[in-house]
Amino acid sequence: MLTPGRTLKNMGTFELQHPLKVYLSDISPHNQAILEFFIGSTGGKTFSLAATAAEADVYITDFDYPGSIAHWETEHARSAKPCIALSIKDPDNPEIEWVPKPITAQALTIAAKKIAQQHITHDQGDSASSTPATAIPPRKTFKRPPSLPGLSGTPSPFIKRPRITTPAAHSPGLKQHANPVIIEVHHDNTHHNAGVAIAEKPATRPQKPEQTLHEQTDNKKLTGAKIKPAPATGEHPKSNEREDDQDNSQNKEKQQEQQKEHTDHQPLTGEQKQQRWKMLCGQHENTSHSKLQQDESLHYNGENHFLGTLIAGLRLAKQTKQVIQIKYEPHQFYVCYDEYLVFSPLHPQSDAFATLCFNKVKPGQINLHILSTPESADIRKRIHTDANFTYDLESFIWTSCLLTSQGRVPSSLDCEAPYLLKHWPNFTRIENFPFAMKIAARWQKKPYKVSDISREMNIPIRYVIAFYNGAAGLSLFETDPAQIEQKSNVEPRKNKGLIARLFGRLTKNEATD
Amino acid sequence: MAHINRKIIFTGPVGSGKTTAINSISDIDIVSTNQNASDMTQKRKKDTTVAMDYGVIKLGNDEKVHLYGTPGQERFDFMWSILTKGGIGLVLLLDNTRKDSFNDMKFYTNSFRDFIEEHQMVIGITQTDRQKTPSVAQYREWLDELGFEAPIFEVDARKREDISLLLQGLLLSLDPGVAE
Repeated sequence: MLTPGRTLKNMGTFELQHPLKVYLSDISPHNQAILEFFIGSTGGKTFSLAATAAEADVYITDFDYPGSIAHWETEHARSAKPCIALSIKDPDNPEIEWVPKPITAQALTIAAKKIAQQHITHDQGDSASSTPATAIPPRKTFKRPPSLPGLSGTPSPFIKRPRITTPAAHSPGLKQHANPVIIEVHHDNTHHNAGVAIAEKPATRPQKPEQTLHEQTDNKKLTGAKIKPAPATGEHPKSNEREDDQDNSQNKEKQQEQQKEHTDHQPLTGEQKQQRWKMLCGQHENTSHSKLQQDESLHYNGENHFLGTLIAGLRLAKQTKQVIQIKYEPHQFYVCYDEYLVFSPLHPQSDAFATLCFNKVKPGQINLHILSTPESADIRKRIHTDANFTYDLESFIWTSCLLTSQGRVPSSLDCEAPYLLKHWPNFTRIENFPFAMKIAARWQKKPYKVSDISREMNIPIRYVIAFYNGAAGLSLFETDPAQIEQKSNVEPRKNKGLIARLFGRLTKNEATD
Repeated sequence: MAHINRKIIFTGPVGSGKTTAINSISDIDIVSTNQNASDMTQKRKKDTTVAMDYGVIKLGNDEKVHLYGTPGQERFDFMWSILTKGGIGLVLLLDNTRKDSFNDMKFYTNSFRDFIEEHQMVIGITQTDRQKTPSVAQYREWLDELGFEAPIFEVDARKREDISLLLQGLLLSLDPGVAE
């Protein structure tokens, strides 16, 4: 009920002397609770809650709530009470004060004042201010509502959103390839700077922008590879349907083996995890800085491995928006960048895949195919069908990087240069190993040399090198020298106490889960 | 010893998994606002912590970390300022099946800008099992555009280990030496 004593002035100086009584109508329980909370606290000077619609001065209605508009139209026709409408869209009606979403306290207050000023009048005007509190309050009147044509047509956000399909399936920007293209990747130790290379060592310090494997292949032409049209389409492996009849039985066997291999991978036990970490990070002891630089057996060049071609494939997939096939006999991998997936016949945790990554490729042993649009569509279909053979792109590259290096130093790493991590790896989906998250945290706050991280954390350097291998392969390091410089003097905050206890609690759970 | 109980805020659009995430990691059954709403209407409580999802991680000795989920549906920003008081960090969950994930990220990071700058944020991308793209790499680019730094992980809000890793990312971002 409208309380006597309310004074109405111009909006500029207008103040409600008593709260506006509101009835919350057609608002979801969640949102109603929020509004009640607000009205019960900071909004209490502006609003008070009416228990029934009859007691209220005004409705607050969520116009995006299903059926709310029709309901309000009926109520308004009957009671002529105005409304504060919460909605994503302006109802465009003079009887309605629109509060757009996201809703703010200020917008609600202004709406209340406008409503009070425009819609609520008193029979006795300002004289009501002298009415004793016990007196019968003056009758308030409301303007009649206008008709509300078309209001019910306001779209409701509660309509079930149609399933969004992946943009890959209908991207307008797809480059059409009438014929498939094959790229022969030349692996030659003497040409590792030119082709699909791991980032090079910075020439000077402070280092020039670190060009990671990913980025370097983005920026350089594949000088070490030849791109040529594929032979007749029929020769180009597209899917199982296209295999020759005589190979069918062989292929079936191969597929069954692969399928078994894929499905056989169960969560690792503690001991298996230790073994796996050795495979990912190597097992050399805490090697000294100088030994790391001098011992050739601790170095490798990713370009000479499957990894180099994988990264080149990634670049091509990104550029062409087509599926890229990597043929590394007898295996065929497919990189589908726009769906961020890799199709691999080998499980990344299998010994076969570890061997494939670690061994150097021989000339002519591996090549890339840019599939034509129809072939890409075919493979995409297969990727979606054979979920067992499909892996997250980033996770696959991360594991490939680690299995290639096995704790060795990549040619891209300058042990004397500080690096700054720009982005964290996707830790919930990549293969984790000891200290990886802590290395990421430290490396993201401030530029560090590999050896400095190892020393400060008091951990074997192989873990830091392993992290570098994975993160560099995913282009996660900062390349802007200004940023590196800017962060070089940052001192990370110390938040011991509760945060440390919470961290301990979470990791303890993890260990016991 | 008196403990200061602190909180972690979970935010994001409706359907992004805030309630589920809190439920996954909380040591108590989550307090659901939907259930409280009717009580609220009846009792007219003025100072209770409703209108949000609520959970707890117990650390022992009566020490707790409160987990609050902002109401996603209508983005009541006045609730956010109330919620963030005493917060140690923000968990932003983004639903990968939504039409405009960039705008979601932009909206929430702008809304919580002051809090994020003072504390720390971590981003969890949900529903990636239903929709793989935008990829994590795309989100990283968007975050760069918006001028923020934060770990971004794909998460299944139903999985405790995913949410645990997300929170570990948050804590390590606050203090990389927290576990040493």
